[in-house]
Amino acid sequence: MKISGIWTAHAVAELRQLLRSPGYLVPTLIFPTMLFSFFSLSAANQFPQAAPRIVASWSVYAVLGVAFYQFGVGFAQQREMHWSTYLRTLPTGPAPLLFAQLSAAVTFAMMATGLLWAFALMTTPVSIDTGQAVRLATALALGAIPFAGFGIAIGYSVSARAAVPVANLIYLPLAYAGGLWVPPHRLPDAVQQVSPSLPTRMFGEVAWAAVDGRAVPLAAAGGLAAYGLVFLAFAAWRYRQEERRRYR
Amino acid sequence: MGIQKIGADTTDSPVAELSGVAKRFGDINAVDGIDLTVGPGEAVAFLGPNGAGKSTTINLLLGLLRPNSGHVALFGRSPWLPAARRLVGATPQETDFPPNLSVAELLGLVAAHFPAPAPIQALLRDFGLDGLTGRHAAKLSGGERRRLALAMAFAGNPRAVFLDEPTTGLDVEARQTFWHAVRRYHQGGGAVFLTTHYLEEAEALADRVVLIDRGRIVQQGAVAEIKARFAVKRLRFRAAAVPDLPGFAEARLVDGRVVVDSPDTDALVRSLIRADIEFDDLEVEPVSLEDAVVSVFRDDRAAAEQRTDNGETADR
Repeated sequence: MKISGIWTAHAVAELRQLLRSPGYLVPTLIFPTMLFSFFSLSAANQFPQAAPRIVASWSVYAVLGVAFYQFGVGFAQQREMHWSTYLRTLPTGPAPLLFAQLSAAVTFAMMATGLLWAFALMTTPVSIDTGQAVRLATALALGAIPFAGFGIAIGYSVSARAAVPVANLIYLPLAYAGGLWVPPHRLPDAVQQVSPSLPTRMFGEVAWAAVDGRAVPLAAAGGLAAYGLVFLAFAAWRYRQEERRRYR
Repeated sequence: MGIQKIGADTTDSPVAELSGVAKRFGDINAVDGIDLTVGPGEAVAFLGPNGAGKSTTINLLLGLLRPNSGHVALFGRSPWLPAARRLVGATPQETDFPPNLSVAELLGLVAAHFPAPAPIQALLRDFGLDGLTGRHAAKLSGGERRRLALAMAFAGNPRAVFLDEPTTGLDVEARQTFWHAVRRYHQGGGAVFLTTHYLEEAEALADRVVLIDRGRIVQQGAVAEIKARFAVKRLRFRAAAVPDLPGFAEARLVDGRVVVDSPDTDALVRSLIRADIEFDDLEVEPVSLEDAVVSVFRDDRAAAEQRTDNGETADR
């Protein structure tokens, strides 16, 4: 069987499974748009020049949610299922399954950000041209990689029951302190001190530059890449430990 | 279910080969030196008590575990290679399928891994899953889940199936349907490797029975041979003493009653009557194969321990 066929089959199965799971759909697809409407709708209307940055911030938040839920919660749940052991007896390696997860994550991230932008375009004076949109999409796709690694590390470290609270306890404070919910200059002083060194802030900086049409902020992009290496190494280490424990 | 064509390099290879295979978990020798070859199209039943090493052996053959020593091959290749597993179907041991996928979607997902899968409609029919096509796994009953799990082993139209206690949790009708499907598969040239607790199942499906205990093969042979050796009955009666007759050498007194296991209890009863021995409360009951096998294992262990003891005595 061609690898692509196996990959497609798993990607379709994963998408179907998630589209039928409210526990996944609500936090990843609905929450970003809902929280934007609660906390940032009036600000985006009041300060039209800041609107693209505000919607970009919530876009970053939406992508974080997919990364943490898809890879953190999803991997923790799958790891505990005998079904995933059974999948290993089928004639394929781990790559098609991982690609299927990635494809599902990309699809859901596009749906979540698409919904957010559609809502924002209808309810606020925000506007974005094609060039900015392409840069933002690129920033979101690349910036998500470190957090996918973080999610995988969580998924291989905690039980399925603990995964949702642990993921929320990590990514919600990180989103807040990174200046994704309120602009960095409106954060409390103590939080402003640590904010620039957080990966979520760096992700935000890259996204804001994209919609501002500024050059890529190299310090933030470099810092995010460094975080990415650490998170991916951590994920690989946890993965290998798990492999040794279960399939020795 | 037809058998797919495969490359010449694997056609003549044994389905499964284990030589000197050992697998330890901590201090436990789950598999302790197994040599076994399953030929193309052969049906072999692995029989033994819980914890004997049956599932560990299957998991070694499916590439889920690596042996500590010895050699495991599937169609002449390492089970860790997807190419080796392409010729093999297995059942999930547990039935925790993704809850929101339907029966047809799950079978389709499994089938997508194989070059020439079985038609889904035929699978649904053969495993009594007609009418459940669109039902999500979360809404299946326990028996329906088991049937789906069994169908998965055949979804890839494999040359060999590995069935780990396949009929646990199935009702009589579902078991018959399953046996029918497996026999048809085997008649079509498919190899079958199954673990079971039931001699009846081994008899229905296997050409050869392999008895395993504490990680070792204790006995093996054709089904009829093993059955003659192990299909014993237990005779119980009240009498003054253990009769001094042929066939009662291994009899024991339990609560004032003579208890003896034998493959031919009828002959024992006839000999009691001929010898004019007084007895009452006579009972004959079948001994389950597992009990019979376990008692053989016990004897083997006792003999082994005695040898060890004698050896130690000789050393002194």
